[in-house]
Amino acid sequence: MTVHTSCAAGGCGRIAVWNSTYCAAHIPDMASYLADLKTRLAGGTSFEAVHLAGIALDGLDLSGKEFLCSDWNGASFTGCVFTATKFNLVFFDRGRLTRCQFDGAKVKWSVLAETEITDCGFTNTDVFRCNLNAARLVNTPFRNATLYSTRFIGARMKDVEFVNCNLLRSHFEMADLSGARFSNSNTEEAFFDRERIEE
Amino acid sequence: MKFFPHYVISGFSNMYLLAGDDSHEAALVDPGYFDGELLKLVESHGLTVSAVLITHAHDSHTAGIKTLLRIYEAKIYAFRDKVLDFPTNPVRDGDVVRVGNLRFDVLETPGHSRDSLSFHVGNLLFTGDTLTAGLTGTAAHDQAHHLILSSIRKSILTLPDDTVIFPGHGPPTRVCLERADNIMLNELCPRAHSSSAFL
Repeated sequence: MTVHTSCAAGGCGRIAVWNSTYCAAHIPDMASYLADLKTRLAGGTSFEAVHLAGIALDGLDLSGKEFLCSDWNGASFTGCVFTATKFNLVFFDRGRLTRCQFDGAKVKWSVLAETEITDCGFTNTDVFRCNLNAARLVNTPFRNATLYSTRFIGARMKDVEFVNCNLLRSHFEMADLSGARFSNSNTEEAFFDRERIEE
Repeated sequence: MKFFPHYVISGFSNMYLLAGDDSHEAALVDPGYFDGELLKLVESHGLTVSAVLITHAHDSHTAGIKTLLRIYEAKIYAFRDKVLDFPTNPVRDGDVVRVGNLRFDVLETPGHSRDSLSFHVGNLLFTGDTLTAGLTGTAAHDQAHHLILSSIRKSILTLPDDTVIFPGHGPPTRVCLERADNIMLNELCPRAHSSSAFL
């Protein structure tokens, strides 16, 4: 894990974002920061401790890149491509994902709790041991995805489908599944009722 | 800090390997199984396991100790004075365990079992089965359920919001997310049943 640096703005307790001494709220010139950020992300393949808490990005293609131990709390990604991207220990809680594609991505040990996920796609995606508790998912299909040991406890779903997914040891207790559809997926190996909790 | 989560299918449990940045001495939290993959993880980073931290003495968190102690001369830190017949360094609430340049604060968090501990280092918290993402640990009877809720409220939810929780099972989470979303922290929520948890 990485050490967080506090924002240089007086009295601010938030963490500084990657390659800056300020948090997202106090960056003096956000446009310049975002331009520099996009250049740095485009120029590398493997990134560790890329803290982007509160940052809003759009139209980025981060296909095939790898992110490790990064804090993206409250960040917003719109129209981004994460095809075959690897995420390990990325904390993307309370964020927003809109029109992003995760086809073939491998997401593990990561947190997307309370995140709003709208018009995204997870086809052939591994979502292993991730926390999507209380997330809000809208118009987002999971197809041929492995959701092993991933939790959607208390999540709300509208127009979400799980097609041919591996749901082994995934948790859906207290989730609003009225807008979810499961087909060709092993729902019998998932947890929907808290009375069945074994751990 | 070097930090590596490790999952084993046996017991579906998580183990965590930690070491200070400039140290070869590592701590291993809850060795539920000691396999070749874990050995490779330790050795490939030039580490030596010098401390084993036990959140509670259930098999899925301790079964790897026997193999581990054949390879490394590690001290065991647990609530009990023996684990699997191996003598331990018993620890209690408020004690500190130092491993290399890491400092682990010990929190007693009984309820799932009488001997349940949590370990706090930096902004990371290892909760064993006391608190997992969206759920609390199983409890053998109503009193134990109330005890686990009390432990969580007193010792865990009082930690800073951004404290990252790494549980014994399932994905990581944060204190603020559990405070907001954990369905079982509601007194009205019935406990998850277990006939054998409170050992």
